[in-house]
Amino acid sequence: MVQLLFFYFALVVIGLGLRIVTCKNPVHSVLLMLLLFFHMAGLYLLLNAEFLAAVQVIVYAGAILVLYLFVLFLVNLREEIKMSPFVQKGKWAGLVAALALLITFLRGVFNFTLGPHGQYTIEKVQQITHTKAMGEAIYTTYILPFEIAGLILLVAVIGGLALAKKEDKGA
Amino acid sequence: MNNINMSFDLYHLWQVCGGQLILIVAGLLLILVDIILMEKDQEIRGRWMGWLTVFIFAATIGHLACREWDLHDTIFMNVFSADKYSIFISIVMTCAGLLAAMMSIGYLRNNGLVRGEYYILLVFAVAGAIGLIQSVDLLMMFITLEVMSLAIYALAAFLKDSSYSQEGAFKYFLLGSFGSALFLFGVAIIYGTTGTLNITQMAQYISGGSYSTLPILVAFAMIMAGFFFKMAMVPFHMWTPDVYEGAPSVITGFMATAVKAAAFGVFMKVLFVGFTPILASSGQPDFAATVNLSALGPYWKPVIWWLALLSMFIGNLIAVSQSNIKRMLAYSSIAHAGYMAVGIIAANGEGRMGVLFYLFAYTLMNIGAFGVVYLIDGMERKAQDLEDYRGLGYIYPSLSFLLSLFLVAMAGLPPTAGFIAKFYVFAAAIKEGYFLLAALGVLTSVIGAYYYLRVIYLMYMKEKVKDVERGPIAAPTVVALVIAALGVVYLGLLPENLASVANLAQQSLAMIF
Repeated sequence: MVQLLFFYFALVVIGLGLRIVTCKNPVHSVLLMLLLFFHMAGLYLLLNAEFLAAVQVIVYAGAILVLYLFVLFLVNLREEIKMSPFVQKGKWAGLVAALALLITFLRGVFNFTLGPHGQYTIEKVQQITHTKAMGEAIYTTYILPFEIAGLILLVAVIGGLALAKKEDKGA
Repeated sequence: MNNINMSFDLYHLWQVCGGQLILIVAGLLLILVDIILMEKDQEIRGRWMGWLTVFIFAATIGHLACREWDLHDTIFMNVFSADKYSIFISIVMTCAGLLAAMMSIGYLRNNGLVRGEYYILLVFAVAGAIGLIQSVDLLMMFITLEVMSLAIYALAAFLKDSSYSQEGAFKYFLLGSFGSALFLFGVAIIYGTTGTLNITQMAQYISGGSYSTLPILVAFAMIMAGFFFKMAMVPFHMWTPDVYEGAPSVITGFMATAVKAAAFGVFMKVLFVGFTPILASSGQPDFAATVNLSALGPYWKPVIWWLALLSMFIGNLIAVSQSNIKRMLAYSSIAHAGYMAVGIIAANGEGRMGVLFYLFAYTLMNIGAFGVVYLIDGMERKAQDLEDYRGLGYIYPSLSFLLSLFLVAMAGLPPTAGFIAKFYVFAAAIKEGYFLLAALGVLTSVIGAYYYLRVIYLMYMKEKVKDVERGPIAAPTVVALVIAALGVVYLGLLPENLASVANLAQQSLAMIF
């Protein structure tokens, strides 16, 4: 049952991912992405990670997608701009490269051996609940990476501001 | 894991990550200063922000060189380490930041772009780069890599009126994110197979020998690909010419040096601490006992052999046919990545020392060259074609002389730092028996000499065809250029000092715990 659910979610995620990048209409892409995010949340739920699933739905599906939609409506992409590709044989080279990558991944995945486990075993996570386990890990073991991840946001905000702000042509 | 209170206190953090802390706090203060100066005249505001940034970088270099150089310490369960190796590369990158900040004062004024965010992003970029080189933990590497990259993406797009800048930055952003994603994928596989993100623990696991090779190799390949994107090694170099051409000239110089130094430094750290650890001389008894230390060597050496060769050939050959000087220097930076990779393949002390020396020398000559390019340009893209350089030697003799010096150094001719750097790297490769690679490398640097010297030929032997009016020259730019030029000549004549320092730095790589 769990495996069936996993394969359902996994296959849908892959299929939707492909559809999103091949879709011509950006609004359709965004709506499909909403579906994708819900299925990803399903995958997290299968891993007993209910906190991640909730965050996935609230932050990605709730907030970020709405931002995407706003941007799309503001930019108002009516017609597609078509340009001839710079490298003509790109399609086939890309296919070969992608296949090679896929084979490498698959070989890596099928020879995968699980390493030593950390302190958070499944039983322990179930006992203290996932949210608490994650909070503990983030605010103790990973506090420094967590703080520096905040710096990423700061830099992104400053960068976005610098690029979006209207130029005050003076001097 | 449980004694978290024991391992963390702020004073210790300041000791180990002082350089980063200075830059982060100063970056936050610069935001405030920018707001305070909002009402002031553009000219004053730009000058204040610029000089403050220069001062911050100088203070950071001082702190790194005086307070952190002798440290050998890690913090917070080995997330960051302070050792001579990290500090050496941190100093190289902060020097790049310092020179770039000094030139930016004039550059921004010439281009009518007085924006405080520029300096704030520059400070955060260097902070991220120092964090990247100090981290021993793959997760931390990813986070700091993103801090650095995001700041650089924004800086590359800073010329908002130029479609070249926008196009380049967009390409850089997309491909760079792709590279980061590859890196992250590799990290995830490493975490799955070895159960740790720390590269020293990973090395212990790998040297234990009880692992299946294939997942580790796949992860290793992904991590390498992620770093090669940032280094601009050949199959991952596609973004380089467009980005280097489009970005503001000073930022191009900074990108080509600081980002390359960060990527090379952290790649060597991952390689020689994590995947094929060089023997630790202290405190690791179970390391010394194993023979599996270089088990992965046969896998990565051929890969880097070919990539180094391709980088040298493709970089130098395509550079010959470029007509835009920034594009030409972009291809030359791909070739230089190839030369540095030769030092990595050698995988001996001389090779690592050579790469460190190369990074320092390359920082001086490359930022110097881009500084002259921006001065001759005046406004961005007014005079960037090689044709514009015809006859400049008689109109602007001092600028032409400086550019010639930097180009001669890049071509690797004595008596400049470029010659010594190439010499160290190739000598290390020959010592390990890579005769063919070294010979082909020297051959490609002959091709390289052609297009570097062609610029000098155009400047001195040709009549001018077009009036080129350079922009006003700012004093800090002159100081930065003179420092870079003196450094290039000094390192060419007396390389022993820096070489011995780089050697110390290289040796500490064996002792990261």
